[in-house]
Amino acid sequence: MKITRETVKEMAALAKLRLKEEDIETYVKEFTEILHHFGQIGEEDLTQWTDEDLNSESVRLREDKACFFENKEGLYRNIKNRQGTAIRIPKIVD
Amino acid sequence: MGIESMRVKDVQVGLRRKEFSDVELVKAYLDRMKRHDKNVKAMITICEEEALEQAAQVDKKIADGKSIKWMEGVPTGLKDNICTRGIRTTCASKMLMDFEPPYDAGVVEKLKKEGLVILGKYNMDEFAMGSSNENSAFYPTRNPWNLDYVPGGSSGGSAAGLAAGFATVTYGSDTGGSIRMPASFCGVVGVKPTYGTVSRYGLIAFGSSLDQIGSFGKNVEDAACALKVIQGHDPKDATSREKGYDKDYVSIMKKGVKGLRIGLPEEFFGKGVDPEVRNSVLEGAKQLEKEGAIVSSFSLPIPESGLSAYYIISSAEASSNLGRYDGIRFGYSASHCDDYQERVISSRTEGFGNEVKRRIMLGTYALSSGYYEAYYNKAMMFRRKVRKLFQDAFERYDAILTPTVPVLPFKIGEKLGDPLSMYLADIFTVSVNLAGIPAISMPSGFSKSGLPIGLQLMGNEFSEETLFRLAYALEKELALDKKPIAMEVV
Repeated sequence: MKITRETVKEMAALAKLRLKEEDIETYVKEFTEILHHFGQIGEEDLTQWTDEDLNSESVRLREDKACFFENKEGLYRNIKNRQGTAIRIPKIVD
Repeated sequence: MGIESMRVKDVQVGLRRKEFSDVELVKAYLDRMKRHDKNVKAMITICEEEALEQAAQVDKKIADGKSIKWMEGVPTGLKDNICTRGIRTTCASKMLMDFEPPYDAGVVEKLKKEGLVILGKYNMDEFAMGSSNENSAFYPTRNPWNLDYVPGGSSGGSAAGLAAGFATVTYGSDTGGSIRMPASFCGVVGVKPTYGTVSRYGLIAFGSSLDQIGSFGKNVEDAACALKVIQGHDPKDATSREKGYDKDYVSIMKKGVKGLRIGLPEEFFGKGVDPEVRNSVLEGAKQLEKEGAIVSSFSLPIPESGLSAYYIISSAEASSNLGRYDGIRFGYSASHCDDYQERVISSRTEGFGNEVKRRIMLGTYALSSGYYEAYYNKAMMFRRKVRKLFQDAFERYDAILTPTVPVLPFKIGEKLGDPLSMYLADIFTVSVNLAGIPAISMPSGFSKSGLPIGLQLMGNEFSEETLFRLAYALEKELALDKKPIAMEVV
């Protein structure tokens, strides 16, 4: 499987990352090699398993219940740009 | 006895007989860290004040004639991806360089409740992605057996710190071998328990369906004691298992191994395995046979595709889990950007290191339209196959014995420019995480160059006690417990 510069740029855009021009070529080489290796999984005989098997595992979810979190100051401490109990962010809508 | 050789039992007995106080013990470890960590670089944060305060409380209880809990006062340390309230938890990333969690992880709550003393937070590969500890945003940890070599990863600091005598037991996390691999490279015992038996609440997520916290010990008994303290149901972790694993490992492990059936999978001893590693592990199998275990070979065709499935699934889960780092709510923020989208992109670009970016992009690719079927779906189906193959194997065997890592510890920088070669070092450990089963890595010997070699014992889910029985018997037979510990050569 050949990875192109465009594929790498698209992967970065979806992942919200910016790549330097000089790094793109390195990623093209690395991803081609890695994905070629990973792609070998396609040669496995997996006909015994279906999509339904993948969805058959039960997922236990805990009750959706509001809980009081006592350490609010600790929670806010990690906000870089805070105004009272709100987070200041760059303007989104003009 | 120097503190670098102290086992859990020595601490338990010494404190109760008042041979030393817990403050004296903690001070001795802190002093050792300050003298030797400039070479090993296992530590990210040393919790001196908190540790001394905690130790003083233990001493007061003893002085007041009150009984102390089983593991109370035992000095320990945590990988820096386990949240500690008010103590920075960095994941060895620029992204979380100044992050102070507002709550304790489930395991930290348990450790505090049982009275273990947390001495510090250990270095690791950034966001637990790596097999050498070279992906730390701060500095690479070095192998205490030879400082030119890597300690393995991603819990390299926890393994190297223990081998260097910076704590009595330590803790790490294992997503695809991140406890077992550094345990093997640093000559200590590392346990990856059954998925769901240790709370993941407050463990900074990498691959949630694979991540599991586990323990390190200088011998099998210590690793088992350290594990017992943290195992247990936690309602805050939806994947936490409620029962089936409350075992008295220390007494069970001394039962012997007569009649236990051990399988040696041919695919784990073939091409690509260093002859010194192969011979050392096979010698371990012989010793167990001598002790009465029944050893035979069989086929378990999973390593190659297991590695692919692991990297596809873990990268896919990482790409989703690490989506939360947007430079807005917490973590590194590119505050020089006035545009919202620009701030998110710049924060992630500047905050994450190369390997993390590589995995996020690979994961994004594996989940993207057009490639989902070929990669993610195939990997999930192969995961099913791995579970089935293990289930079949455990009908015939009580445990499976393999090398932990196919190669000897490698030099710092040796594999950095070749990510695929680095990934291949995990080939024998990842399938355990795909299946959710327990595994132990323990020292089996040393290479001619004096570097540790480890062997891996895998078992069916909730079979930790069987693995401890085998590991304990082998440890006694090999008598590696009596070898000089790592820091004597530093």
